[in-house]
Amino acid sequence: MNLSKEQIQFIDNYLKGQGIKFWDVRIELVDHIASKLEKSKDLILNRTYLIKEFGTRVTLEKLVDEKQKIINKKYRKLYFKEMINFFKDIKKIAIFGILILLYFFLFKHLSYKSFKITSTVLFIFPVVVYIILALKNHFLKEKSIHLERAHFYVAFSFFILNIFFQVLKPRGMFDATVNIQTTTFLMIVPLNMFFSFCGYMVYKRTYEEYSKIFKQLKSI
Amino acid sequence: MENQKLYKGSLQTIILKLLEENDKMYGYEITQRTKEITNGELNITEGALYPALHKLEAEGTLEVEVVSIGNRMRKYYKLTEQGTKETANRLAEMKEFLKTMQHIVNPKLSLE
Repeated sequence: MNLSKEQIQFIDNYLKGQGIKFWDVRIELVDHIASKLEKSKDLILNRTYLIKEFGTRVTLEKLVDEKQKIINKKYRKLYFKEMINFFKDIKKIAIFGILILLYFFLFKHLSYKSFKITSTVLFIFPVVVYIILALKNHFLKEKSIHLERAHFYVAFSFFILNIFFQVLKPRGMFDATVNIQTTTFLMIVPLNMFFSFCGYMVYKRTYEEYSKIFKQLKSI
Repeated sequence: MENQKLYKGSLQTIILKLLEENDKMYGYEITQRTKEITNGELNITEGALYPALHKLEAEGTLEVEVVSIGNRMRKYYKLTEQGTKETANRLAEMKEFLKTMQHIVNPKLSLE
């Protein structure tokens, strides 16, 4: 006999109560337990049964931790795949090339101070996008483990590349001439924009895919 | 119970073989099909099955299709193109492994 909507909700609420905050982790577990119950005439759905079936909160949290690690591998792979695909798209290469030329034009025509401010703004821009998306995700009632992982890659390159600015004086350890500083900007800013764009595309695709599934879930 | 440990290292190959034979399958279906084929000898737990499925998905061996079935969602797994090649490789490896084990466990039989 098929489980009712209320019974499905009961399983889902139990999992939520046990700390599984991600809806895209719960759907698979809910289906597993519901299938098991539907196939067996002897099983009765109650809290005791669910504890016996899923184990304690610790077991479930371990399952989520493990999934997070595995999912990270998936998104890292997608991130690198996105970079490769970028170079297969002539339009994207052309636009990126024009932007680099514009940036170089600014370097040639702006004073060092203005160029430094412009570069800093461009360098920080992906982090602003990352924060806006983080806030948006934070206020979502139902969280997605996939979206959370994909989101990390929007600012991943910033977290790595900002080390170049951390090591240069006045705040860092090493003295750097104006020449070295501008060269660093000229190399790091376009690189950061490229990596962040790829990270954003991974996030966008994940968002589209999981929003569709979530809408389907809510329409049930 | 001890037998389960012997199967543990082959879990991914078992999943791939099942998916090769059935176009797409969901988690519980895999556990039941395995139980059926092995006459209840192999009982795959959720704690072992899902991490294995998720790993294969992350590697690009499997792809996922989420569909609505009545009042809940179901996640189906199926082989990707890369997964089909990977299954052939893993099954060949498994055959080699079984042959080697046969030499070790029953040398007389393997000489015949």
